[in-house]
Amino acid sequence: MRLFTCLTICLVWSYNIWASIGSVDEIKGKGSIKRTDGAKVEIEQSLEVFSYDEVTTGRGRTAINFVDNTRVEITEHSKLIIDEFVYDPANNEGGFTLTAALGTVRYASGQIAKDNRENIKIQTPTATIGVRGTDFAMIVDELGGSTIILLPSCNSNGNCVVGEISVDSDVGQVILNQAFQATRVDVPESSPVNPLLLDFDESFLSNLLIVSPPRELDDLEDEASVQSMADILGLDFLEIDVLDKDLLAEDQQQWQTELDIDFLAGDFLGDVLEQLNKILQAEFLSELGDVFVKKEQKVGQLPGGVILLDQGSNWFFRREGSSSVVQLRLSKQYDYVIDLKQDDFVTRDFLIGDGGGNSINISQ
Amino acid sequence: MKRWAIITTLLLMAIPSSWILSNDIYIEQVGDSLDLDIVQDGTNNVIGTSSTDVTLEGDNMTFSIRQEGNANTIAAVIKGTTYTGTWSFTGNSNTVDLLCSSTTTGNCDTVTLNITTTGDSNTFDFDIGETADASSSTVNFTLTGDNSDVVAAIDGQSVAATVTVDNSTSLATTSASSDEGNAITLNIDGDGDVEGNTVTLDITGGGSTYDVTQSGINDNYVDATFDGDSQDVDITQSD
Repeated sequence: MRLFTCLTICLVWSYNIWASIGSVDEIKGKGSIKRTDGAKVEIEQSLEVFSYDEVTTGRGRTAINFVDNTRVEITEHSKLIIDEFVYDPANNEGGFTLTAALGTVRYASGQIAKDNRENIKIQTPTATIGVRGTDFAMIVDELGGSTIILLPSCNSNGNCVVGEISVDSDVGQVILNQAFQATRVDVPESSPVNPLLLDFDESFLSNLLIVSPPRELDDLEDEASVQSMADILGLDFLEIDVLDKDLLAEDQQQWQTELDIDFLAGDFLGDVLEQLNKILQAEFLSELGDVFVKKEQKVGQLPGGVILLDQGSNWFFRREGSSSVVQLRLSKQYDYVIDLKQDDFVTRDFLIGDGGGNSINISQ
Repeated sequence: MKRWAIITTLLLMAIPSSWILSNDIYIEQVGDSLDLDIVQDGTNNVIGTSSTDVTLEGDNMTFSIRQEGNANTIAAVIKGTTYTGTWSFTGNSNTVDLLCSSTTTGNCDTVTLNITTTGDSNTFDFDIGETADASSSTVNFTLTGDNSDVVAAIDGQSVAATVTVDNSTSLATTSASSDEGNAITLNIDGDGDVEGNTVTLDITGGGSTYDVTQSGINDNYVDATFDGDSQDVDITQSD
């Protein structure tokens, strides 16, 4: 009987190795898939995808739809490794492990995440993401440093919900549960930095990095559009002698015009990623510092879901958890350090006044 | 005869004054609608002990205590629904131990307890509901003084606990060798009902330690006001 069980498991496992687990839904530019036998195939529309495939893009981007409706989008110069995918559609059971090794990858949950979220394991070189049914993006740099951004999940009617993901390193975990919250893990031995709420929307992120670049107008459309605008403004381009102007002489800093920018060029996206990562790192570092410094208090909505208000002689501090509320009225005569801990992993330090004096620890 | 009178007088003088002034009260009562008021004035007064409690069993009880003096002790067990108590202490080094619903046969629903103490170095231990939910508990604790230790554990469905502390005259925050602050520990267990569990702190003065734990689900609420320096406050809400 035991032998029979083992054989059955082996058969199912081997079936899942060789069965198609999804297909390419979108390809722009070039990319390739390396199979387990070492064969390398160029990505094309509807190309089948199997467990243990390695998906690599060059100057191109692709999207893969898996059989459980999980969708993964991969941008330029990125690498995704499908470590394992097992799915039984009859019972909606299965497991999914993949690694975003480089570049930018967007993940949208499918059926497995809904029914077997504990079997979903999304990894980067430095972090492991626990999925609780939602969308998110991973940006992985050449050294493995990973930025993870939680995205809203929207249906075709435009109705959006925000799920929750956990981001683990070897030594810590944070929970992201607000749209466009982000965290970063530089090395596995460092804790994920405190979640930061990014001040931009999905369209910005999508246009910049993830989904699709701004639609490129073809030359005729572009020309017609420009002419239309010129008509409205009453301009006659023939009257403007651009050749009389030495643009480089006028502005030595103008080394590249808009027309020179190739939005699909890998270097451009690489630069954007690098710049975004630098911005995020700077933001994260500022988050680690004092939220309130030397009496110059920031009031209003603060990171971590905290509200701080100036109520004359008191500071009013309020933080609302999932089923709990803490609100404090703190005399301005004194100084406070408030350590806010969420779910045992995420901590924030708020300094009020000079930050000494009173120590307040809140765990929710 | 005269010699005997002198010896007796000397013996009486040798007895510590606390022996003469102390009152010991032990009560066991069963029945509903008890209304009991106790007033003790002096030192070393005892209402029950850890081994011989005041045990009051019955519904709709009103049990009030007023102790004035130092080194007084109360150890009481209350069983029954709808208990209203007003406890007042003036003095130092008093010890209070209250259990409400300490056995499986006892209930401790709808408790209203108002405790007021003025003095230093007191020890208060309140355990309401214990392992069973007290469906409704309102506990108001007012402490004026320093170096007291208050531990309250409430297992209830809609607990409203208010702690007001004033140790603003204490030197706890200004002198290393001065008075010590108070230590207040509140542990609210049990799932909140529609009203949830609420803890209100109103603290004036510094150098004290406050630990508040709310571990039931549904609408845990802490509302605190602090006006003092060098406080050490821990608020833990979990479910």
